[in-house]
Amino acid sequence: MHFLEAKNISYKINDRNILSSITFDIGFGELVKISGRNGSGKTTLLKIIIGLTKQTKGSLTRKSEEKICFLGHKSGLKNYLTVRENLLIQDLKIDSLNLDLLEKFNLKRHIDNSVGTLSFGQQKKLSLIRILNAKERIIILDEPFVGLDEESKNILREFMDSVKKDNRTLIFTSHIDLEDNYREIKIDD
Amino acid sequence: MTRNLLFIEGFKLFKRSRAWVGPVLVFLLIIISFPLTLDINSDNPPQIYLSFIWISTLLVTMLGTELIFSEDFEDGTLEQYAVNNKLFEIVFYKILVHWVLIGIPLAFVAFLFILSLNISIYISSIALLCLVISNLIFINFFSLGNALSLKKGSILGLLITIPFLIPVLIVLGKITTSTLLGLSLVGHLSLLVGVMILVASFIPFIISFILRTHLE
Repeated sequence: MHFLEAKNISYKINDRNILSSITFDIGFGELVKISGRNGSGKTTLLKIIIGLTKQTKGSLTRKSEEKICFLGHKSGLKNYLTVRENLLIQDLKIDSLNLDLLEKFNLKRHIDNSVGTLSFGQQKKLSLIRILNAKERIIILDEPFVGLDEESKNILREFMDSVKKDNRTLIFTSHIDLEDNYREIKIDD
Repeated sequence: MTRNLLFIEGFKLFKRSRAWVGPVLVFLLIIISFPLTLDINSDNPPQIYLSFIWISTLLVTMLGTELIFSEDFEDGTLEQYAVNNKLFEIVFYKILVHWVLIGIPLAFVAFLFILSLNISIYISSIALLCLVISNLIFINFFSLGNALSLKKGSILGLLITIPFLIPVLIVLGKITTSTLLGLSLVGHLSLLVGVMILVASFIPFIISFILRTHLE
């Protein structure tokens, strides 16, 4: 069953074409990678999919009003709060699952440190904990692999596989080639 | 979930103590310095102090709401809420927690200040009530101004919204006069409460719409 159908989607800013006539559909249980060069419009397409931006041409139909779990370029973390407090404001409990994730991401020792003291990669890993806890059937991530070390990338890949097994959908953008076999929507000219 | 969002917004503001303690301290400094600029021998009518309180709280609430949306906008939190159509709730809760942590404390500090000037408890209580109500109106309008100028610096939005607050200041002035002359306050207070209800109901909708356009 398709939850999303996009027909001839175009997006233009000041006479500059960002996206030109893109057609695709996405169903439940799919892992979809939106690929393209830097500046090719991957993030714009994601924003159109999640409804933050309106396409200038074409139609996009979401057949399901399911909640979406979204992580964009920005982490949504608060620099003045500790790791523990950031998990709290993301409605996450400090339970065995999240303590285990913090351990795997090598963040457990920083649990009472403020996020402002963490590196970009550590912040990225912390923001991914919310995603790894997601119960939503649709998950959308913008460049989730950027800034991650190999070990963390593997954790994310395992999560992606589990999403597919649960018949949930994960859409993500990436400008790097991944060995994994995801369905790919290329938006390069 | 609703209670959680309210708790989260309250927690975020509470932990950013500079954002709510700062305005209260600035207000405290202003009201301590104000009597020093007046001739202590002169018989200053309470009206001067009350007018000064209205204007000071207006300016301090402006200061207190300066970062109300910018932080969540910059770090991507607003984007996450917008995806699941939670912007209105978030705006409403943000305004509410700013009122509780900044607006109401300012009203109480002003109340104590007015009492300390040997102004009657009746006038002080009326001022407290007016400030509790008007601060919610001020915070709503300044939030609107900050939402309008989210990417352009706060001054532009504030210049647009301050004129909308002049009628509120006029009503506060009328309440002051009526209180001092012992006239009925029912009409003016009802007007103030009515404006508060209208503003608190509609402005969060307008703000959530403006924020969504910023996120496009």
